[in-house]
Amino acid sequence: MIINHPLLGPRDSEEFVYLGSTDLINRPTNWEDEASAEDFYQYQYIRDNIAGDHQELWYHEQGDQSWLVVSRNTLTHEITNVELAQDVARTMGRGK
Amino acid sequence: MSQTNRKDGGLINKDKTLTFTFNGQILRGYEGDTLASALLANNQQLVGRSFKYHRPRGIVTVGSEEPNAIMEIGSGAYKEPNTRATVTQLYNGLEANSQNHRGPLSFDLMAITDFFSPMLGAGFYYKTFMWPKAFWEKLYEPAIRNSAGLGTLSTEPDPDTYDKGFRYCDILIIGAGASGLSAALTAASSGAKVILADEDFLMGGRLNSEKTKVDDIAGSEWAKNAVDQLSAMDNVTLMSDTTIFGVYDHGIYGALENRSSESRADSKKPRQVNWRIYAKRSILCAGAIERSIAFGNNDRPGIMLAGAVRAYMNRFAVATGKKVSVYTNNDDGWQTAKDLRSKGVKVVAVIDSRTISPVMGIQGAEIFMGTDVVDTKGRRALKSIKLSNGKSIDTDSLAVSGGWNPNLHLTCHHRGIPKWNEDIASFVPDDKAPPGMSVAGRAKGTMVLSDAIKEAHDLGSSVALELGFKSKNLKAASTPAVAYNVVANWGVPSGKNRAWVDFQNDVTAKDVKLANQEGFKSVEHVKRYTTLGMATDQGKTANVLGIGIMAENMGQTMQETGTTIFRPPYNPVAVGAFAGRRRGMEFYPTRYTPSHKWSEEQGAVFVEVGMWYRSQWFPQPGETHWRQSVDREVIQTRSSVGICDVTTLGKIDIKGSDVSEFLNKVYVNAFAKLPVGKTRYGLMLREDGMAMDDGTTARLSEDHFVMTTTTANAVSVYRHLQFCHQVLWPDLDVHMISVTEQYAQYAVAGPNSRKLLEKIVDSKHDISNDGFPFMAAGEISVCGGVPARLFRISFSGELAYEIAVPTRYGDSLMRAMMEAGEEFNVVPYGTEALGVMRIEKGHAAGPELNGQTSAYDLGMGGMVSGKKDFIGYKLGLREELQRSDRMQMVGFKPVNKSDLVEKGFSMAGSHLLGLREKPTTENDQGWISSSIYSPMLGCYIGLGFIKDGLNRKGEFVRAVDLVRGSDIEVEICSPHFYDPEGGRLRV
Amino acid sequence: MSDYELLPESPLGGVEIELDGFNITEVTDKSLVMVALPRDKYSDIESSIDKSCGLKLPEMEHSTESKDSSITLWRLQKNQVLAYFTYEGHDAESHLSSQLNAPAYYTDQSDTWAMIRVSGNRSRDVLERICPIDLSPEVFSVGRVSRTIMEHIGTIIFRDGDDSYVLLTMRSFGRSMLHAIEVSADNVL
Repeated sequence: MIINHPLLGPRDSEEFVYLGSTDLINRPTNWEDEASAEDFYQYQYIRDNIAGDHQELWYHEQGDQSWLVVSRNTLTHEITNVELAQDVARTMGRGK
Repeated sequence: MSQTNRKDGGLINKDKTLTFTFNGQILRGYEGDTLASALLANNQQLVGRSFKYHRPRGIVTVGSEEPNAIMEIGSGAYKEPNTRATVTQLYNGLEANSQNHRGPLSFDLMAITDFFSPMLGAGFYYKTFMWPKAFWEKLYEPAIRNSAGLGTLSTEPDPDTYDKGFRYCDILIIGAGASGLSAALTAASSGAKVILADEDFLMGGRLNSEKTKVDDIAGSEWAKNAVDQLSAMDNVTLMSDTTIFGVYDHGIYGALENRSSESRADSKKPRQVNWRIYAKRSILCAGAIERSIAFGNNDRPGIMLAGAVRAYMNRFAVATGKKVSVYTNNDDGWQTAKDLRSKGVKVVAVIDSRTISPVMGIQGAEIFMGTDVVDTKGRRALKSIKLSNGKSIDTDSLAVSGGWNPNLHLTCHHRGIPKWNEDIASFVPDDKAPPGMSVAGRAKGTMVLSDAIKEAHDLGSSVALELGFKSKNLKAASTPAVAYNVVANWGVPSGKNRAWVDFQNDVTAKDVKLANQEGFKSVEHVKRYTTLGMATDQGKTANVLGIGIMAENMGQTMQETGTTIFRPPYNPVAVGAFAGRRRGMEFYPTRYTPSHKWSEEQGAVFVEVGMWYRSQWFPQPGETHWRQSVDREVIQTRSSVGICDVTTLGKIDIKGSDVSEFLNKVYVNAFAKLPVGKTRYGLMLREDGMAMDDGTTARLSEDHFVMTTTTANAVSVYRHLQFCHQVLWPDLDVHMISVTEQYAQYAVAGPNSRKLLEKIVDSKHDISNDGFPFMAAGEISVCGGVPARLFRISFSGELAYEIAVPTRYGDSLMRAMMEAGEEFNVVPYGTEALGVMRIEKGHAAGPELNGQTSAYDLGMGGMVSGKKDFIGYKLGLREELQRSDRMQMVGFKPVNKSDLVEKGFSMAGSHLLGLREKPTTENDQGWISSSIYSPMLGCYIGLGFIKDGLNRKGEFVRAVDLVRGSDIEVEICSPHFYDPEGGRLRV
Repeated sequence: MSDYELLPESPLGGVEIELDGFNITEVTDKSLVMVALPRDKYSDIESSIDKSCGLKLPEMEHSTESKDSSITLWRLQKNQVLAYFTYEGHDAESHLSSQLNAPAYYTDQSDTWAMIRVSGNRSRDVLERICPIDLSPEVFSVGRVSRTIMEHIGTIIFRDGDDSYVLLTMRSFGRSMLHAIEVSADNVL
């Protein structure tokens, strides 16, 4: 596969490491809350098994070492969008 | 007998004679021959025995689709079985041997299987060798493998080398026939970067095998001119003898380049290169492959495909017989009769199954329309054929054409499904070719050459234009339009005579019928049940014929029957070509530590740790067993001082104003208040609460930290930290960089370590116990101004330091420290002694951090902070992870200290059982994860996991190793075997 | 004065191999320092390095040179630039930071990398056996730099001339990379 890196252009997927769904960006912040155990459980384990467009995290280990959000169709491998995970995380409200 | 079938002309170089052997017989051919054409030139019709029935077989085709002429090429370790003679370029000294027969080829002892053929139909093996079950492996399978099968391996390591490579282009054109060349000419004229690949060593495709004129010159000459023109262009790469074998995601193509034109033993270059081609677009111009017709005894040597007969004549100047007949269901078959006639070869008959008027007159030939061939005679070579009208015709070469199948294989690699086209009685590509691939010419079903050329010509420029390149206004090559009419003919009733569909697998029309009758309706099931379309040719000449027979049997259309799924590779690819250079020591790269050269000089024994080579121990003269060396290294370190290269541990420099906050989020324990000049042990969890890695992190200045990781997890921890930073907390001011290789780092351990280091460290730095206490860290200088980092940390449990210098000084520092330590009897120690000392101290390492252990399980529950969020905090609190009866890490020591000493192996891997319990899974209480002989305690000791271990100290259990055979009583104890109070660290 | 003197050693002992149209040479006169760019100091740094050395921050996978050509900056990551400059001392970090005079974080990487220059008119033919990125002269122009993987080894490739490339691999992999280049040369030339 070839991943069209937002900063570097198309690169062979051999340079990358796959992690999983972008759900992993939404790490709960309410750790002090007793009830957050369930949120962390959902965060860690519960995923949809998507046959189709999937938002996933890839790491450009043998490149610029950026984490990317890749929109990939799991049936066709078509990649429709690639963004820096850092940018996506910020838009999702993550900061410090 | 010398090339009796050779005629004039052809694209061979008669000035260059090549000598080769076939089954030991010395034969001659010419430069430009394939092995197949040279054999035919020498009238060698019989070239092998069939897979199952050992029927005599001859050459059928002229390309990589060949089912019969597969041979062993070369000898000794170079022997390569199952090589297709039709694509093997002839070279001087080539050795070929036919395969799959016992005794001489002309009298195969195994041919007796042919007489039992009525018993050996489809599914015979499945039905017959079912019981008794035990017989399969010992009796049936070896016997079957011995009698059926293809060539044999040399069983020696492959002496050839292979390589791989990467190429980029805008447009990859697959196939360099009339269409491919036309597409390449327009595409290349645009300035786009073009790669043109063809599996033949001579580009030109069928133009080299036809008498067709293109632009008023011979087609082969036109092709040569086109190739010359393309090779002169900087933006074009020509890859002949290169098969595009697979289409992968996003425009990646697998291409296998052969170097078959020379004796492999004489060549220093890789035999094959497996290229990965990155192409923005591709144009498939793979042409078409001819198919046969199923009629009685249609497999005799001398019966070939009509296009092949013509190719041997036109390209190789070889007549396949003296009295040739043609059997066809389409116009193209007639071309063979015409071309042979024009070369003066006698054509005795043309038989056409269609009820139409003759397509042309063939001088001297009897013409039979609406007639079929129903039987043939001639055991080792064709003698005569029998027609449906009862007539017999003497002939030594029958050219058969059942029509042409577009070669659409590669369009299916992303699950394209071929569509049936009734007009040409063939499957054609659907519109689901892999993204970026377009198809032109016969591969697309455009069977008339002039149309194919125009189509490819236009496609070359339109594809270029899509990429922003404008082609020059070139004229498509002109050639007479020759109609192609065909009426499907899958076979004729042939009574008890077998009509072969798949020659390579010995599958007959009757086998297909039987499979259908037994309920195998899906084409995929019939393939597996009958083996139709398997093995090296993957049924390239057989599949459509088999599908036609199936469709007739089941009364359904060709489209309803459908094809099997075509998958890569298009042609067989040697495993060696996939392995490439990665053999032996080159399977992986090797990483050397800064002290490697010095260690080699000391005669160190090395161990692979991931890619690293580390010193395992340093044998001294007189030591005959590794334990002697390791015990000595431990004792000498603990009594005086030892040095160990620990460069392989991951080191990460972390800088920024938010680093301490960041560390707080990734470690279970608090780092926010770590003072400058101090280091701290830290444990990292995964989000699920399991231990991930551990190490120390030192604060060198307010905004500068240096973290260490284990050797094994150096890469994954760095990746995890980047995840935490970029994805979870992107606004923290944190900058990480690996400095693992920037510093050579040595552990200097033992009561005399400080004294040794005082001779190395520049005197302005106070490294006394007060000036540089336990867990101190700092940037210093050594040996008169060389910058260094010093950490007072200890894995061994002794007074110890780790000292780091820029790697350029690593070798030199090792030598300096050994010299400085001479007065203390300093000892270098390896990873074994390191392991012994860490187990004596009860430090968890790889075998304990196994992904299933929490901080609590490791006895580090007390370290876990409850006052902050960190990775793994919340899920680590889960009830299940807090239960006291989880497997917990404790120490184990034998009740009888001499246990295992004589056996000479440790408890590692032993399972833990109650004193009187049987060794069963139900009784299993845990296991020993790490165990060594402790020279300090004088017995084997171990770390391990047992249910509720922390509450069971003092209890006795058994450590049982059924594999190596030991069963000893052990006491559950603290994992801190040696100096549990830690006094030795702090002096 | 210390009793012991430490002698520096280059990763590949200064290897030099000359073949027909292809040369392999260890680069031993260069230092490398990673310059991390804090987000809020980005424009500060840009103006500082322009003022001090006439340097611009390069685009991704491109390089820029200081006015006197002694310092080259490689942009391999968004938030960091790697400075490649002529210097042989073991204090490259402080040397560079005083030259650039910019409020960045500096980390010495000189000893981290083995640097091998491959040059000659056959260099691209040899490199295409190990390098997965497109080295076509018009795509990977002089001054381009990229980080990728070759033969399982993370590698930086910098084109420092028409037919000249510098390959950088982690020091411990140096010998394996040298071997990979030599095998390619054997297979191709």
